[in-house]
Amino acid sequence: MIVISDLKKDYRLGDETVHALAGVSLEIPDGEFAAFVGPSGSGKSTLLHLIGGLDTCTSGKIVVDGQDLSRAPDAVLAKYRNAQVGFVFQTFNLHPTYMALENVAIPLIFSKISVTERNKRAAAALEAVGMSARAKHLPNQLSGGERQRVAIARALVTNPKIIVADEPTGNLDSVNGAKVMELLGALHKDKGITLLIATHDSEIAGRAQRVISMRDGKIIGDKKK
Amino acid sequence: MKFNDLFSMAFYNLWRRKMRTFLTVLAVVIGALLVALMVSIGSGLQNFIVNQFGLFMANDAMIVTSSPNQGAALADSNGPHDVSVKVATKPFTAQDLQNIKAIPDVTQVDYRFNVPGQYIQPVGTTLEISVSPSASPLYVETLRKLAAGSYVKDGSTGDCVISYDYLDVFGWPDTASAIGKQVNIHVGKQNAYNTATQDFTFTVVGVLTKTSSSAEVMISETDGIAMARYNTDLPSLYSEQQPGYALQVRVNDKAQIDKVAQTIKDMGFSAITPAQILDRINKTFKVIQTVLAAFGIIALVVAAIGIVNTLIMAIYERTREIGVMKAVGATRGTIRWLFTLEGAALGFLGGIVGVLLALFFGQVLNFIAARTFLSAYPGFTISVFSIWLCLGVIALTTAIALVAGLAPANRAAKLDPVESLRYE
Repeated sequence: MIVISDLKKDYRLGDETVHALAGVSLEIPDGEFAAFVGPSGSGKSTLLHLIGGLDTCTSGKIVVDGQDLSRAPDAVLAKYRNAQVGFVFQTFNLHPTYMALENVAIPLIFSKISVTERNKRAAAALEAVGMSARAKHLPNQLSGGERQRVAIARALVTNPKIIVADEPTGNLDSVNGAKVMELLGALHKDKGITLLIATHDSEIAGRAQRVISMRDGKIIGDKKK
Repeated sequence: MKFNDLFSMAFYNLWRRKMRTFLTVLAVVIGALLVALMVSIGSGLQNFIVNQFGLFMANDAMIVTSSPNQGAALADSNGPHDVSVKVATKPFTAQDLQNIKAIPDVTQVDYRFNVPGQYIQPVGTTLEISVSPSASPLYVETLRKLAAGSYVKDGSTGDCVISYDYLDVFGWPDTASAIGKQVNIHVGKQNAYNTATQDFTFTVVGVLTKTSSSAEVMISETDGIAMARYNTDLPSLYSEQQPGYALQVRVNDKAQIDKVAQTIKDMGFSAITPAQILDRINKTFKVIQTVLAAFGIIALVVAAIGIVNTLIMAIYERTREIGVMKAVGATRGTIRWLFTLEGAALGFLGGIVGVLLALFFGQVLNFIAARTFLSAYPGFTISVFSIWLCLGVIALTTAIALVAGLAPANRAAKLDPVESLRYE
């Protein structure tokens, strides 16, 4: 359960203060598939970063499963990101000199797991996204869709409760984009993972149980199916 | 994050950029090589001097001078062998000598003086070869090794032991043929206006092995005193009545030497023991080694700047990677550790390679030295490495690199994860 109340985030851009989030309140129950839609600069990415513990807020509160992230120190946030959240990025962000299996295993390094166990779990995660055959390939030997599936495996490998995906299909063609969305949808259904996606694409938003519309750092619409 | 993962990740990151790592490490290697080689040469010289010192100074005897401040002057000269006793203002009196002889544990007291000698000449030739005569009691004489013959006995007259190198100069084919030959030592007057000279004739009874001195002749104290008296025109110098300015005092047990030295100092004289002189020599060499090592340290400081540069470049290059690492659970501390370790690893690698190269070049130097300027001293090496020198240099380069890595590592740790993930 994610509980957000009056969350604000300001940036300084030169002399100007940008209100990326101008007071957002929201509750997301466990296992929900929610899409955040809105134009660039609407604050959807910032909101997802805050939920993922990657950023800190200016004011307000964000509580995940009873844990207050808004005042948590770096070590606590790092542990939270490691164990409870999986990130999927628009640009995949795979390590260019690590092969697929090693990329997937990276989060486990930070949970102090032995190499053999890491490789076992990473292989299982690759299997879950249908990429076992490509385990020994470097990212540049993979197609865009394949890279994103490896990135999803990396997000899955620590068995997180939440997956945060910021424009996961933004760099993919429609066929591969659909495949990635099917994969994410299946993970949400089968594992009961809370899936939070920021997107421009109304088709993707259409797959979600809930569509939250944002503009100028505020929620302007919240539709549940 | 486990330490071994951190460690292998740091080395992997360096391996990814082989050329850059190589160049950065190269600078460290040069510094480490200089430090290690310079200190090793310092150690080699020190060993050499200390060993040579042992040939002139018995460890159960001390030098006593009449003026309370002269101990320092003695120790700062090149060792007891060529000490000028003329600087002292007040000579020992007969009573002083009696008092020193009466100290418990003192077994022998000898006069210390310079033996004059302008040149040495084998009898029946016209050769005039430079000479450095010395007149020591037998217990000091026996610190030196003989190639042939016997030592000059205490109280004997007209006998001498000569340096090995004289054989060549005099045209004597071997040590056996030298024994029994006669040589003259030509002695003039201290007073430059008096041009009178006298030849003192000696029979060679022994030949020294090759040592640091190539122009030495050892004679008895009796003969040395006669020559000194002739030189100074003081017919009763170095007698019980006129003991001179410096004495060599031997004790029956070297464990008692400090106690006796203190007793003598309490009498208003100065006393310096071999241990004190060695201590001064060793301290002097510490300074010399530090100065020599300073050149290497400067090179290491330059190398440290290279390490800082390399790490800052690496941060720019790997900004996104750092962002991802943070997103999947790396703390600031982990990132800081990673970059600090990468810096330290550069220093560690450079230290190891530098020390190995220094060992190699040291061996090359030793090889060359053994065939040229050190050929007369088998067993001595110009470059001396101890395990502590090797480990010390590696620890030094690692520590310098670690310190150099701290600021870049901190910078990497403080990167905002959201910003880094957006970094193009």
